[in-house]
Amino acid sequence: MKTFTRMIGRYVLATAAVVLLVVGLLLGAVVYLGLHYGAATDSRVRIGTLAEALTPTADGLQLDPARTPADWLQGYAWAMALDDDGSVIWQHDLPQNLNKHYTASEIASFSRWYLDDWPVFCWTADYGLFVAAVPRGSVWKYNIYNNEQLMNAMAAGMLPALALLLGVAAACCLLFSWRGARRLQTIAAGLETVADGGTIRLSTDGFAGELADTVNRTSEQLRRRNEIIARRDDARTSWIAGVSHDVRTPLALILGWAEQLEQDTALPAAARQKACGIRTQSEKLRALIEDLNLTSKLQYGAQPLRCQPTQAGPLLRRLAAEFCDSPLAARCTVALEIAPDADKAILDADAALLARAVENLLHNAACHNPGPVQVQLSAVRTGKTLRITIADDGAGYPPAVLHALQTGEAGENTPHILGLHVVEQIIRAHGGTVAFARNAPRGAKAVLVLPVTEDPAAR
Amino acid sequence: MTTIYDAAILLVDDNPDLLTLVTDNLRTAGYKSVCTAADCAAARAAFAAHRPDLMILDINLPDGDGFGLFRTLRTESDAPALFLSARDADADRLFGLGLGADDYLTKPFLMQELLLRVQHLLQRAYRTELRRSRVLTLGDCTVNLQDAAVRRADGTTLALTATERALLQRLADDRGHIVTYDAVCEAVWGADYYGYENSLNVHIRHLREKIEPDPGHPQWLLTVRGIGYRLTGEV
Repeated sequence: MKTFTRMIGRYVLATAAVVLLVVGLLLGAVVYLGLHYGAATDSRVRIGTLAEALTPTADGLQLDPARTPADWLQGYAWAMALDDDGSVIWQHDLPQNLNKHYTASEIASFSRWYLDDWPVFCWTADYGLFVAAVPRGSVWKYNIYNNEQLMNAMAAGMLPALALLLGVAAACCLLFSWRGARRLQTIAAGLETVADGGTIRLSTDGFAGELADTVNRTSEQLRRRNEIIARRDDARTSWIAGVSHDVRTPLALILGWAEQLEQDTALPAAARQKACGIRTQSEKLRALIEDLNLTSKLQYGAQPLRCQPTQAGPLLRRLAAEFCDSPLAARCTVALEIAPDADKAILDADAALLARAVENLLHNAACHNPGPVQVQLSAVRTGKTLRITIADDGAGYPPAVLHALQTGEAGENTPHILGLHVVEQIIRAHGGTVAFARNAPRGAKAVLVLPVTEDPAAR
Repeated sequence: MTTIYDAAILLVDDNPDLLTLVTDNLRTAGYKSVCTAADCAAARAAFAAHRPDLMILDINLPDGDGFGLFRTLRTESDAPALFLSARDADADRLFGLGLGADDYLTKPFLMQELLLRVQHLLQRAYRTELRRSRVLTLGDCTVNLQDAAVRRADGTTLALTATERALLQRLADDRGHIVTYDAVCEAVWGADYYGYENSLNVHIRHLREKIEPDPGHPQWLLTVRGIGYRLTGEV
């Protein structure tokens, strides 16, 4: 909305600026033309001065001898003086055909317009009438008169009329810009809908119709692409889910039989060891299926988060207890350290998924280290985040794995790290971050940073 | 029922190999009465004949689905039920639990996990019945949880306070496994246990003085640092 208010403001200001510029240019042009063409007029002696410079002498009428007649009449074609009877009593360069007696009607005519196409100017003096002509075609002469009341009204109303005109112009400008902005606003709202993944169908009428049509076509294109992507994602997720479903029952049998054989004391030790191997590999397959399913669902948005306020301390203790009770922990020593403020931190979390992330990391520590390993699970609160660290003193992540985890680029020979990707996806889905690193002096370390939603003091 | 192993278990799955496998493991674990069915009709007949104390149901069955079967059986019995299925979708899991099932385990599963879940379901469902004759043996010392009395090797009898009895009861319910501080506190003081954590140590110390031969070096009620306590299993 602010964008359109700003747009209208700028539109009005731009219009005002254009109007001012045009007025300025017009005034400038008038001034220029006045200066340029007024030079010739300015060089002439004014008709009144000229008439007064002609004074009676003993030799008749004479121009003031302070200047030569040519100087006085510079810019004029000719001049003459008429007495009250209309006879020429003085002249300078008067054309022969004009040296005559003038009747009152002739005088009245040329005093308003032209004398034989000569533009002439008249001035009454004591001796009669002084007439001076400028060269033909040099002056446009027209006699203008109008109703005095009208002229007075025009003079008085000029400023208010100008103000009214400016007001009307501004109002029109505002109206048109507002209508235009409203149309553009509809298009902008449509673009926002498209950006949010929605589909739109804007009306293509009006001045922005072409733009609306383009937006409509873009929306349609995106809808089609999204449909294709969604179909592909659905197909992929369904395929993975279907395959994993069909594999589950046979794998349950393999796992169960392997467990039975492993525990069958009647069997030779070598056979039981092989059964143990089958069970271990089956467990890996089982974990792989779970991770594959979950990662596919998380990646394609088929796994909704069921977030609820979850207190960090009890959750981590439960996970640590379950891990310690599991056969995997036989080769591990688990140390849990939760800072008091972290213990009571509340996370808005899907506890089952978060548990899965921590379990994956704990299982990794147990499964990927051949010898006894010390696992450290700790949690501290830093501001509005909770840092959960799962570290061990085992072999640590292989360099290729660490590179893939830190850069997101898997090399050709990078070992499978689906379980760790699941951890990344779960933590990111909760608005957190995860960092994998080497532990000092040895081992692997994963740091999960999650947003805390509630002040522990509130509990 | 004096122990959970007296419970009758109904196992329903259309895969005969899986039926055999799970039945064998349940029997090996000590469950004396396990009946099986491969479809809904057989399950209803077995249910009528055996009146099981626990039901383990598959969902995909040849003549119907486990959800429908569970609905039918639930009208006749409140016996706990566990769905054991290859269907791992959250929707299925939630639907099953929403129907009133007590647990849901997806295939493939660790047999040990299934046995533990069965054990917990039976302990929870028949706690009152089981506790009537519940006597804990801790070496030379025995604890009658019903009477809250500890009988020591030297013949003396010590009484447990209500808190100590509730605490020991909770640990005994998961004997051999870690019980977190939170779970212990919740069992003793209820869900709103905040503030009682510090007094838990005092009650544990008093309990050890009654059940341990050497309370300074406990051999039955062990602390799992930072996590909780474990009542070690019977030797």
